[in-house]
Parts: sequence; C-alpha cells; structure tokens
Amino acid sequence: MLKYILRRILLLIPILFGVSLVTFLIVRSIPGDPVRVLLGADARSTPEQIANIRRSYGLDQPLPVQYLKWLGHVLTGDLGQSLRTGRPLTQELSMRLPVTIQLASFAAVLGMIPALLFGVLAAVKRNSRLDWMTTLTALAGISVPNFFLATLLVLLFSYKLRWLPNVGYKSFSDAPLDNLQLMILPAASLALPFMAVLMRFTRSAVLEVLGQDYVRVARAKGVAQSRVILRHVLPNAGIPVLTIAGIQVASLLGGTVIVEQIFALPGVGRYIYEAISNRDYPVVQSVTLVMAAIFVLVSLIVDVLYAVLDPRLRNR
Amino acid sequence: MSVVNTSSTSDITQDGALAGAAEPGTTRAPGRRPWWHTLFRQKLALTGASIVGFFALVALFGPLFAPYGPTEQFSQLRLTGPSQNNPFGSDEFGRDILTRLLYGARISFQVGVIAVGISAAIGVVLGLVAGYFGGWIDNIVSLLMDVLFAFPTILLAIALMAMLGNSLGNVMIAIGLVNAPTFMRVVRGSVLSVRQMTYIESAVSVGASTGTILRRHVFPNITAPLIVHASLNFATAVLAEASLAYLGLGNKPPSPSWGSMVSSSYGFLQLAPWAAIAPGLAIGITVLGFNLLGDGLRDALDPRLRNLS
Repeated sequence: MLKYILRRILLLIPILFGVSLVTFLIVRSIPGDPVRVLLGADARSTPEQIANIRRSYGLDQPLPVQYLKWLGHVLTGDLGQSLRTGRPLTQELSMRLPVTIQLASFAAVLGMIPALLFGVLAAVKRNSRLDWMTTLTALAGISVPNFFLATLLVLLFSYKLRWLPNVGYKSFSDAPLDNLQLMILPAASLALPFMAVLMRFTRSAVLEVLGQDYVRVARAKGVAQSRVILRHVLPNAGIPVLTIAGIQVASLLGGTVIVEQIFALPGVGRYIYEAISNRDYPVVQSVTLVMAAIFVLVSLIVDVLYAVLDPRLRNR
Repeated sequence: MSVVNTSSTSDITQDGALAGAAEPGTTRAPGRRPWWHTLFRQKLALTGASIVGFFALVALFGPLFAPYGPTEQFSQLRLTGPSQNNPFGSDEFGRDILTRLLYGARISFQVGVIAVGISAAIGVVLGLVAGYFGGWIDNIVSLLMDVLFAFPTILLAIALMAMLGNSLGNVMIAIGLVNAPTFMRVVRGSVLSVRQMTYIESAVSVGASTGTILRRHVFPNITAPLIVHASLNFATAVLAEASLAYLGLGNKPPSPSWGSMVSSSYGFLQLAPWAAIAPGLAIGITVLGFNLLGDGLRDALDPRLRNLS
C-alpha cells in the first residue's frame, strides 16, 4: 500500500506542473496591459516609467523565463505580490484562506449529515415515501444554481423573517456568534448541491451493496436487519461514498467564487474573481495554483484514505 | 404484479420477464422493482422530456409570442408585480419579465447546444484515441485531462472568459472546453470495454483500417453512454452559462440571459422578489428537465444501472 500511496503522490507532480503551466498560459493571454491597470485611469506616465515598472515586475522578460522564475519562487514559498496593493500574496492568503476553508467545511458538514442519513434510509426503505422525497430533493438540489438558492435564502431569512444578516463578515476568533450567523446562509447555499450529489450517490451505493450475495447470506442466516446494515452494508458502501464526498468537497471550492461574491465574504474565491477582473496577473496565477493544489491534495487524501480503509487494497 | 407491469412498455417487459423467469412466485425478487416504481421513474423521465421539449420550443419560437421587446422599457411600470399585462411582473427598468424569459431561453439553449457540442467533439476524439490506442498516448491525454480536472470548473471558465474576451460566443467555447474532460472520461472508459470485444478483434484480423474500426465498430457501440452524458452535461452547461452571466460574464447588462436577470434584480430583492424568482425558477426547471431526461435515458440505455436507481 505504501507503494500505491507513493505512486499517487508522484503523480501529483506532473499534474501540478501542468496546472501551473496552463494557469500561466491562460493568465498571460488575458488581453489588457497589467501595467496600465496598475497605473490607474490617469495614464499620464511616461513610456520610461512604464518600462521601469515592467522591468521591476519582470514583465519585460521572455515568457519561458517569466514562467520558470515564477515557478522557482512558488516552489520556495514565495507566491509573489499583488500588482494593485503591492502586498505579498502569502499574507493575503493567510487572511483569506481561513474564510474560504471555514465556508467550505461548514458547507461540507451541513451537506454531509443529511446526505448520508437520508441516502442510507432511502436505500433501506426503497420505494417508500421517504425514498421519493429523497430522490426529488436530490434532483432539485443538483438543478438549482447556488446563486439562486442564495437569493432565495436571503429573501426568506434576511428580508422576510429578519433572522439572519445577508452580507458581511466577522472572523470566528473575534465574534464567534456573529461569524456563524453570517456564515450560515452562504454555507447553506453551497451545501445543497453538494448534499444532493452525495445523497444520490449514497443511496445507489447502499442499494448496490444490498443486492450483494453476502448481504443475502447474512439475511438468510437470520442476522437482524440493523446489524446487516451496520456491519455489512455501511462499511462496504462507505468506501465509494467517501471518494465521491472527497471530490465534492474539492468542488465546493469552486462554488465559493460565486457565493463569496454574493455575500461579500473576504475569501479566496472573491479575491481571485476580483483579480481576474483587475488583470492582477500574479494574484490570478498564484491563487489559481493554490486552489488547484488544494483541490488535488484533497483528492489525494481521499484516495489514500480509500486505500487505508479498504482491506482489499490495504495489503497490496 | 408482474402481470400488470409486463404490458406497458418494452423496457418493463424485458425486466419483468427476466425476473419472472429467474424466480417465479417470490414476493421480492432482488433486482425487480414493483411496477409503480417503474412508472414513477418513467414519469420522471417523461416529465424531464416534456420540460426539455417545452424549453426547446420556447427557445426556438418563444420570442415570436413575446408581448414586448426584450429591452423595451416602460418607465411607469418599474418593479410592478405580476399583472394581466405582465404575468411575471416587470424589472427595475419596467421591462416585461416574461418577454425577457422567452428571449433568455434562446441564449441558454444556444449556449447549451454549442457548448455540449464542443465538449463532445473534443471528448469523443480524445477519448477514442486514448482508449483505443492506450500506452503513451493514453497517458498523455489522461494527464492533460487530469490537469484540467484539477481546476474548479467555474474558476477555469472565468479565467478562460478573461482570456478569450467577454462575448456570448466565448461563453460557449469556455464552457465547452471546461466540460470536455468529462466526455473524454466517459468515452475512454466505454472504449476500453468495447476494445475487448471479439468483433473488434475480428475487424482487426480481416485487416480493417484503424479509422474504419473506430468509426464503424467502436463509436456506434459507445453512443449510449455518450447520449446519457450529453443530456446530463446539457444541464451542467446551462447552469454554467447562468453562473457566468450572474457574474456578468458573456452577457452584457441589457441582454436577457436568465443568470444576469437574477443578478441584476438582486439589489431590488426586497421590493420586487418576482424579478429574481422568475428567471431563477426558469434556470432550475430547465436544468431539472435535462437531469431527469438524462437519468431516464441512463435507466433505459444502460441495463447494468437499471436496478440501482
């Protein structure tokens, strides 16, 4: 199994390398001069000034050189600095990443509990009313865009019931209660599609295991239903469910781009969106890379967990 | 029960006959669903097909029936609620929301068709090549797809939009590129199993060219999963278009894209909730339609999954 894990980790290297290359190429083909953006609307600067700025950011060098330099810096932990604010990105990220991570994990917990619970129940009580409700909820969940869900939640909980604020951010360490109040609507908007996918998948994974011979044998020899489910079905269904959950947790990161925008949360998703609109090259480049790296790492962790948890893979 | 279900459609007949032959007289044979469940599934698929059909009709002909122009403004009607003249109310410029929905359907439909077409074209070619040839070609193509998979899709689409420029055509390209890897995976997986078949071996042994084999023998046998994926992917593409439009990408403000209608009315949510709810529901229902249709197609076309859903 160690060999398997090592191979997965080794595979990360070409993927992340490819990600960095694709990111770099996309960002560099974005039309518009970042130096102009940097100088702002009143571009009264002389060509010399522009050339100076270009040089100081290394933008005058050939693209391959720029790429290798950037890669070298990233590998040594230096993500560069924002063209607009001049602040180092590591500092920006240390402020913004916790917001996004909290949002995504909040959403993951919020989505996972009902998904697993109702997914299993729906499969066990197949064709019951609960099963239908689960199927319909899941279908609705994958069909409603998160920004519309956010809109509905704001309309209901902020405007009609006036229970929750609709915009703003306070950090958990400063004001834990305010933080949770501000986070619950964005997290719920992210959680529904996540829950829907996971619920559907849990249901079919459990159904598949229920049809296996060993379950029939367990039933035939008179094992109680609850024990069949807990001992035989859940451990076997759990492993593929875990994989999907991992992939979905990673995709929650993408959802934060829109949700943070709606609720004005100072997270990474909003940051990168603004950076793209502002042509802030270094920010887009490095932050996209960081997000993709997190995404890939989460799937690696899930794969490794998969190997650790599945006895059939454990001894390989 | 099996007597009832054998008569309705061929799908059920097959199912019922198989189960009946295997275990006659048992009350709950595994793998056999009660007839009303099948009906429910089919009803869902039918609902999906109807929604999709209705959506396509609206996209093609809807604007002909629109009572007003999509950007026609009636200043005295700003943010008025649903009424006889404006069944879904009007927005902050006094534009009729129903009219804009009808025009917006066309945008969603166009983007959906073309984006899915682009994804499918790229995915099919790469998937066929990677799956059939295997080896280093497969390794390279798969790595490329893994790289694209490593980006959160919406983020990649936004970045591509920034690169390509803000236009509706580029939305189609961006969404098409971003979703291509999923097609490639589906096609590659199916090709891997088709390649093992004896008919491929015999085609090779009679000296058919690789192109002919791929075209005549491999491709026709992977269309079922491809159709299912295309339907589900249409849902993804419509959602992606709406999300990009929500962020102001692809459709500039007067454009009646459903996503941008939700976003522009967000500021007036308290005053005129209908202005956001109507386009939001339009997106949700359309996407639901494609998801239902895709699920139904999967049930119908993939017998292995029939018992799982």
